[in-house]
Amino acid sequence: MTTASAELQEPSAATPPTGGPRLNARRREAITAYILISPWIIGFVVFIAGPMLASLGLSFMETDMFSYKWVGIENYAQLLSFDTTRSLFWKALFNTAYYVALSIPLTMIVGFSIAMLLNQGIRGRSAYRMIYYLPAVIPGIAVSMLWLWLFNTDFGLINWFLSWLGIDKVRWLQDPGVAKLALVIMSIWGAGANMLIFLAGLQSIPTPLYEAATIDGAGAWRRFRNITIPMISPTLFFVLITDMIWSFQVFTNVFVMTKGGPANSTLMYVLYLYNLAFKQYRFGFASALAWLFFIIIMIITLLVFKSSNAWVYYEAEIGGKRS
Amino acid sequence: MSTATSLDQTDVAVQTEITGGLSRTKRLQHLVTHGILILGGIVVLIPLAWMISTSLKTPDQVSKFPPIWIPDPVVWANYRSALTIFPVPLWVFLKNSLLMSLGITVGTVMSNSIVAFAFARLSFPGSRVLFLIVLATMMLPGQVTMIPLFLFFSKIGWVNTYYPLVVPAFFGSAYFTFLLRQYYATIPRELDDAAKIDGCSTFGLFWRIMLPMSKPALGITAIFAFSWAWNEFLGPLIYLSKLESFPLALALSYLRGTYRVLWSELMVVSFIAMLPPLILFFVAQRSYIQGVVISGVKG
Amino acid sequence: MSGSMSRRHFLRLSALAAGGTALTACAPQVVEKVVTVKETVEVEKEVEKVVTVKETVEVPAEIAPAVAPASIRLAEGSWVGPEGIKFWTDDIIPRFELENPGITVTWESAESDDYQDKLYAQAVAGDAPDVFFIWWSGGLMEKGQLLQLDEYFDKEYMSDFYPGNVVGQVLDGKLYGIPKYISTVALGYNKDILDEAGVPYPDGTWDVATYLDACQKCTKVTDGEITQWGNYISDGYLQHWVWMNGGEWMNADLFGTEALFNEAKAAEGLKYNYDMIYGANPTSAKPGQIPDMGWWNVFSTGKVGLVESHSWTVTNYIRENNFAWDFATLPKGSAGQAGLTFVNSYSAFNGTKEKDASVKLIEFLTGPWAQKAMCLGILGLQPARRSMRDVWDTVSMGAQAGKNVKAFNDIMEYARLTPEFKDSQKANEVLNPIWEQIWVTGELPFQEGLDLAAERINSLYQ
Repeated sequence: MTTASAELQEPSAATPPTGGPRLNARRREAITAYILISPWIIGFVVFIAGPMLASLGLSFMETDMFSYKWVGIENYAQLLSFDTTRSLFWKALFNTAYYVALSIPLTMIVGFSIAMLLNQGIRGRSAYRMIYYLPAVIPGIAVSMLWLWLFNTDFGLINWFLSWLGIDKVRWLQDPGVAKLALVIMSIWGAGANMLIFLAGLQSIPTPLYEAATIDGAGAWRRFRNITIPMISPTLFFVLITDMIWSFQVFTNVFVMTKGGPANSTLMYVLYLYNLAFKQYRFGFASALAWLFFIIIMIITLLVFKSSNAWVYYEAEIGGKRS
Repeated sequence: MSTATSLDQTDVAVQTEITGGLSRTKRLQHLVTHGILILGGIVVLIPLAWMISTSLKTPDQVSKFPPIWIPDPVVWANYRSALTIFPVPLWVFLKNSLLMSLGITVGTVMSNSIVAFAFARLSFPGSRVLFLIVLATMMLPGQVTMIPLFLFFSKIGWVNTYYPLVVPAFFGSAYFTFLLRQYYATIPRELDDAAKIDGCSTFGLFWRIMLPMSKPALGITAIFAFSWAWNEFLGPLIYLSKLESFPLALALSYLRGTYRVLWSELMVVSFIAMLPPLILFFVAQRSYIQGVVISGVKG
Repeated sequence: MSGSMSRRHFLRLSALAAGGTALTACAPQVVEKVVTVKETVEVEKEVEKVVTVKETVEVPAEIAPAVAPASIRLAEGSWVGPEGIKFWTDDIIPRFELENPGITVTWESAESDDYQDKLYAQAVAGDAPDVFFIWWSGGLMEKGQLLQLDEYFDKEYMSDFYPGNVVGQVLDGKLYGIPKYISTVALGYNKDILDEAGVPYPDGTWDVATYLDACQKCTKVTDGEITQWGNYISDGYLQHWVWMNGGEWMNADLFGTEALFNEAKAAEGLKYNYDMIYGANPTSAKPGQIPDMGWWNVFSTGKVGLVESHSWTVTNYIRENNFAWDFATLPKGSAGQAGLTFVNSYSAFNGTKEKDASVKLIEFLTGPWAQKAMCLGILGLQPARRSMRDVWDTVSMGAQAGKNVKAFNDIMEYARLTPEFKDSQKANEVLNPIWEQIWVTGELPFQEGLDLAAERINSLYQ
């Protein structure tokens, strides 16, 4: 099983607490533990908690690195304004949501289908697995360059394939109507990353479950519906969560391929953040944007967690053991 | 697809599966599966083949439609000219990428192996809460901390150095702490007890039992840390501004910004940039996949 | 092929220069001054101000003591590919180091898209290059990040530069940069397309009506889709259309505090261009929708009849264009001719530890030798020095190719600097998104957009 079912165990469960020197040993152990995790604690304070608070503070200020001015909630007010000449927050959020909403189901379905095919005990599985996983290994920047070339209107491979079907040249990255779609198509190419996790999940389903069902006369669809789906649902859940957080942060490909254009149609959230912070040096405004991002991701993650009660089955519920 | 086969067919298939032989339907089904998988494989590989093909073409052939698949003539010289396409030789970027990635890898393995050990094996007040925080930060989008960190690092003069990119790796990272802790948890606890009875200190336990036992997981950590560092883009983009200090990934994006897009050379450099993680993947494929499976982390 | 030609070209030039080593930054000018330039009174005043500050300081650059050994960084670029980089690292810098023993210069690239953004970050972190090339330095100038240069460059030195360009280097009467080259906009035209459309070549006598008509005639529509554009409009530089129509962009030449571009005459000048994009019979593509292509290489595709283009594009076009083409001055508006020029400069970082060496480098780069090299070599830049006008007109790559590059210098006679509002960064934060919605996305109606932009900008200064 993958991480989704990982539980937090008190590591010390094995050592029963007793009095006297034992206590001393326990304290010694605790001190050792704190020393050992101190890099992480320092890292957490210096690189995560501290900056997060600083970011929150900055979000109420106006600053260009040379001066700082307290402006209250003005940054947030401006950001949330629907006036697109004052803020592109909604635009960027919409673009990102559009991308996430299309790319995640597609990459999950494709990845899952490949995993199902590979799980049939066919020959050459590891070779297939390797090939399909390949795009996930390639640096994002190289992938972007490659697809920039594939999407090229005049000489690109994709328009060449489309010309077989009698479809005219599509201006993939120049047409505001299709640029986002181009990014989605590109993301499907990397669906192999999900495949690997799904395959691991599928392989961890005990075969006796299928055998018993077959003997009971369950057909392929029923076995899929009643065994595969519930048993794989924790994996699905995990992939959904990580994919979502990951896709919301889409940056490299838009930065390299479109710079957010044409007409801001691929202006993704993080790209907008980058532009505000590192092209215009509006750190306060950008910090507010970052905090909104954090809140949005938190809310969505929580919603998915909440919904998981309805569709994620843990082993215990279908008769498995729960350790 | 197996799910699409009709009821009776599968029944037969399952029956033969149980008796051991491969029936005709089963073979047919496998044939179809192979067909689909091969087709999908081609879709995955074609862009890469196209990349290599483009990298060997003359500018004339690059801009041909319909495209030419086999370059004629094969311009190996593109690879030579790509080495000098930047004002600084390409190996400088390779060296930068390598040093940065190695630094990050060392930091990641060192810090996380220790931190994860404490979380996996030692009992201390607050361990549960702290580990929950580790898990929570795994979900945290880095953009929230990006701006204050940039201001902080520029205050202490670290802009235009590799410190902002490498130093944080020495302070643990949620993913790897989690991954290693999961692995440590699979090492039987009896070993600890035995070691303790033999008078082994906590550090001895870590150094002499856990580390040797978890070589595969450490290997995975190193491989992932290296590949991710190699692919890292946003960090260098923000912190580095001198071309000669760019890692390869950033230098590659710079090629796009110049006056003309030289597709052949661009594909050459892209190809070179993807080689190290690719080679690492091929060489350590088994660990790689195992790592993905343990942590559910994607490459 | 053409690339190697330019290389040879430059080698020849270097050989020439090596012959006459006396051609240092302070040596007498080689080229005769041909034309005196008309200047507006306000511009003259600005320069005078610079000069008065100077006169109290008695250190003429020429007799300054030899500079102590120093190592400095120069951020530069050539934007013509790897060949162009070697221009700096193999030719210009070695030459400077030869003339200034003890000073070593490290070259840093200025060619990346976000060079100027990063320059800002570097300045804040105290790690900016000692000397750098910069287009509009307003932000850094206003934030006090540039070294004040008055005490190093006197009136005589500055007098050779077009006053219109010097104005852009001055803030509150203090000098912060020396112009690198002239970047003026002229009208490029594709002779093949004009011939086919039966349009006579522009000869400097065109008015707006002739121009609009030519754009219409050069536009080709096949199956309802435009396959050949009459012209290409960049929303980034339209100010001269305001001026030629008798309007004003803002209430000052530079650092204005009130927008006037929405007033009747100004708006009318802009509207010509707007209608060419969004009107009933468009002749120009929407700007900025082709990320792979800016206006400078759109012309090279051979699918655009007329294009307003900078002087530095000439050498690019010589390399890229496989059709007949040339340049002419811009059409005349109802208020006569107008031209647009862009400020750019060499400046030094205020935090540099090597002030003297940095100034020496700026002096070298803006001196006759380097100016000539930048003009004749692969870069093909129009010299910032008035005394070198003839070099551009007669022996630059464009001139040798028989192109009417003189048009750029003719326009420079009356060209005005691109106007920038006071506190330019803030003004642009407000202006850019609105401007984009008018010209690029078409979300805002024309006049409404202009009014909104003006209103928002004006409210910044109240």
